[in-house]
Amino acid sequence: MRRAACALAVIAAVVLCAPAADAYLKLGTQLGDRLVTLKWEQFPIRYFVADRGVPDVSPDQARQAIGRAFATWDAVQSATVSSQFVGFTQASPLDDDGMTVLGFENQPDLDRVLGATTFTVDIVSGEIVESDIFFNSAFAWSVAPDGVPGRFDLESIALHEIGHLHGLGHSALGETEQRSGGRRVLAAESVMFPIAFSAGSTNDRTLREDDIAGISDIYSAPVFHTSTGSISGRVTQNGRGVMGAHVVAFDPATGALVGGFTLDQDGTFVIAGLEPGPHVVRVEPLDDADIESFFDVSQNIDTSFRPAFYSSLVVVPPGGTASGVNIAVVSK
Amino acid sequence: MRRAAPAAAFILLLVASAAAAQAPAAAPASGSWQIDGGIIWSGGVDLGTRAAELTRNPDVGGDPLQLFSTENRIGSLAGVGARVGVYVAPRVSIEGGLQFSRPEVRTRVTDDFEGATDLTATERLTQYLIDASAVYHFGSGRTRPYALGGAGYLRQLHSGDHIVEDGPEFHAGGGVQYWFAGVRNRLGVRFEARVSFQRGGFDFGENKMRTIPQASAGLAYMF
Repeated sequence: MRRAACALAVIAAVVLCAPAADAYLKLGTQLGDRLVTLKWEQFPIRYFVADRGVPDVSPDQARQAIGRAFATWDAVQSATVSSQFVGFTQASPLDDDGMTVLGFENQPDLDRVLGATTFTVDIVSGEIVESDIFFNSAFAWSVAPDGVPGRFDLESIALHEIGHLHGLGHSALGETEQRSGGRRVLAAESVMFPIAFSAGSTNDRTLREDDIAGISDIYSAPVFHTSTGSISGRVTQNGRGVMGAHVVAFDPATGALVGGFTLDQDGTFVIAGLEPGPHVVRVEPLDDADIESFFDVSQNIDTSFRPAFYSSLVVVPPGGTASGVNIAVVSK
Repeated sequence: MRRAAPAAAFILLLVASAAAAQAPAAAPASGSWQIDGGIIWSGGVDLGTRAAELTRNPDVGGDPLQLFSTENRIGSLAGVGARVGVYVAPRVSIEGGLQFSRPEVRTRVTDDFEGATDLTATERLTQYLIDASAVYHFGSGRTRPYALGGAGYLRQLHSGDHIVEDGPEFHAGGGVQYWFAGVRNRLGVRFEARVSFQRGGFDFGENKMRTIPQASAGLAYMF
């Protein structure tokens, strides 16, 4: 789900669990007593585009923008995803009909939601068998190469939602400010940040290192495991694990930022998809978007601590893990 | 160049003081061997700055938002070294050497957007330098200044030894040897200053030739 500049606590109830696995926040679902990462098993992902346009965006222009967004994910060399446009359809992206459909739907009641992704999941395997994306035609849209002031860029929003379609959750690599009526994003370094840039921006047509690490972690090409490495450790406060802390690895050689989360009550985390070499590790509370944009509200997310850096440079080995990165934080 | 200046002064001081303590001694014959070993000081290296940046929302501004900034450096350090040389002429010798040291990479992290406390994160490298030099010796007394130049191979291992960074090294410098009386002129001390030019070692992606002043002191023995 991608929200407009101001965010309300609107949440998709389909899949919000965060499997306690490597790196990125992935979408998951509870199957009995198992928590299973949602992912596609069959490629290419065959998708339809709803044969409906909106002012300034014809159905064919929508198809092209959506196709470019899929192609951007498909081009990630360290991941194995692929997609195929099947055709236009009269079906709605809100229908559970066995087809993966992307297109516009008028949802004026969701006045802070630009788009959302839903899933149909095999309840035995966790495999995604259908995923639909709607773009809310209650907003003004554009597919102009440089964007249009006052209109949201369809390709940028599609890139974010297709990240969800692949099984990625939200990234917290961004900074926001609280304003009357909601939050405004100041800056972000991940297409998967839950709050969109302002209308007219085309900045989110390009995947960042954080997005590439996330998609590669779920659908890893062989080169991913040999050419990158990971960092693992714990975040603690007064000796107790901190759940839901946002941990970021920064590569001073490239400027790349890749984030992850502590995903259990022990405060353990893993950040994968890192270039080998020394990294600066920073931890911060999850306070730049609504908690429910990242985790199920029933989980005990701790945001009561101050941001901090790990005291050593962490050297990421190629194809391996730099472990034992234990960061003690203090309360605000 | 600013860092090389103290090293040059060091050489001149050594040569000047040595010149005052002359005593006759024969120049080594061709085919003589010399070994020496001692401690080596290397100057620090600035590895530049890099900020962790987020793409700014166009409504808020144009420049990236700086999440925090880093200033990177390899600190000055002491190591150990050993050399073996052979005189191919009374004034000319060829030397091979090995240096070992543990440089510390220091990343100063500051200006956090959300107020995290500044700190310096560190990492220890394990560094080897294998080199060869041509040495020209001046004079033939007990105190013998010399000048040298050569090339080498730099190898650095990050902590954990999983990542190796290597590259060529070139150096030039000079020093003085003082041979003690009473042990048949075979035992001496050696002081040296050189400038080492290194490329390919750890540099946070800068890939520039680095200029590092070095000074060493040690014992020498001639066969």
